[in-house]
Amino acid sequence: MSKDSVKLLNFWPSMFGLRVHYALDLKGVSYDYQEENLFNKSKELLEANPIYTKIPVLIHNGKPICESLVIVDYIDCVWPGSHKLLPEDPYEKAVARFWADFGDKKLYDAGSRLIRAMGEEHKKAGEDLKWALMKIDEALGTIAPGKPFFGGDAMNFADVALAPFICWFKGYQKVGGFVLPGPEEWPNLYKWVDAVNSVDAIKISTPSHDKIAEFAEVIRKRVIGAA
Amino acid sequence: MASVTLLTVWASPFSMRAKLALLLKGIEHEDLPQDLGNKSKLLLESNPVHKKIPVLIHKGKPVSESVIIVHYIDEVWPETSPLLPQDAFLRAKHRFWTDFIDKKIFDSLAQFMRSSDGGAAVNEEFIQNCMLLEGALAELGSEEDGPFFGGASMSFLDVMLAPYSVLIPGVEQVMGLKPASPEQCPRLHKLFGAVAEHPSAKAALPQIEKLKEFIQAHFARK
Repeated sequence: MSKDSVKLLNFWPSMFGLRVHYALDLKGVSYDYQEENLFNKSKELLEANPIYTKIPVLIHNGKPICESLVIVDYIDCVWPGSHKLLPEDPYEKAVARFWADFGDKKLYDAGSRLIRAMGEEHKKAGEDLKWALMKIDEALGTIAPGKPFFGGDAMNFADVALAPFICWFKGYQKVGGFVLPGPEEWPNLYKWVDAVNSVDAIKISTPSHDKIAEFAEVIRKRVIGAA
Repeated sequence: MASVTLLTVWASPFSMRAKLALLLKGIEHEDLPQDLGNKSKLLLESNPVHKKIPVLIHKGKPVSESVIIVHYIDEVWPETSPLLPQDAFLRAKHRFWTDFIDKKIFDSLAQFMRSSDGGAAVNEEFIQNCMLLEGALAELGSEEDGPFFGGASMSFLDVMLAPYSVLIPGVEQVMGLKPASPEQCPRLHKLFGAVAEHPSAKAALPQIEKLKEFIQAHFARK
């Protein structure tokens, strides 16, 4: 049986790329990694994702798959054996998909506005970010009470979709000029953070929180400079 | 309460998708129209996070977000009219292009409807996005098999796209949107034509005349 060729095109601070890392690493899939310079995108990236020319892209046996949640879904389909990410039960699957989607619609959206908006919009983004994290804290308490992850004892699709934002917390706080509420206010969230950070597979690819914070501040300075 | 209930808004393309998926699979359900200006207790309890429609309630459990709902319907009732392909790579393509429809087609259409300057630039963007979708149709569906992404029968991606078969003419006729021409998007035109003839789609989608009244009332520039 010929060996699978698996390659991830990514840009290191991207939480979307990190989702793909997490899915592959949790399943123990070997893959090649190519760091992309977003100001000088490789021919391979432009050909693999002609619609958006964005990372992450997973290239599996020459075929490209784009959009992080589509990629994670694909990975779970192709390598189901170890560490299944989507539950078998359709309702539990729907709940996992909902919270993954929430990560895009509410958490990423607020974080993005926090970095790029000015004045009142910037302030509102900070409030929206905190609201999103509060909702995640509530959800963890409802969906898997007493368990560390959305997936119960192990990370599932929702955990993989949301965990990459953890390494951005420091950066968001620096850019937003606030300190996030702590474990007294969000006990489930912080238990989840600790649990995620303890998973060996997660440690493999997570970038330094300080480096992400530096990166976030660099972008913020550019935004302010251009305003 | 019925075993399957759908909280709907008839003019919403997201609501239409969920309805279409249920009808394609012949699933008996209760359709409960919602008033978004005065949200019902049921809606607020079923979708407390987003407070939006559609919501599918099956055996008392709510599922929100149209794409997630259609996935759910396909997984719970897989035997009739299966929507997602079996092959993992093709499934990824259906999901990618579904996301494209939401990010690019819906967004450019919505921007056109909100624009105060006539929307020429965003109209052009809309046409370009339709042409990209035409390319996807060429890649994913052989014309000999049928007009849909799924060939002779509607598939996941067709369900996601179907509402635009009424939305685009509605916005064109009320607000002057210039759609992609049959020369620019021949297969897309045939696909929309096939949707218009499909019995489930006819039941799930509003009449264009009724939609035009709605668009006129809510979006037309004074």
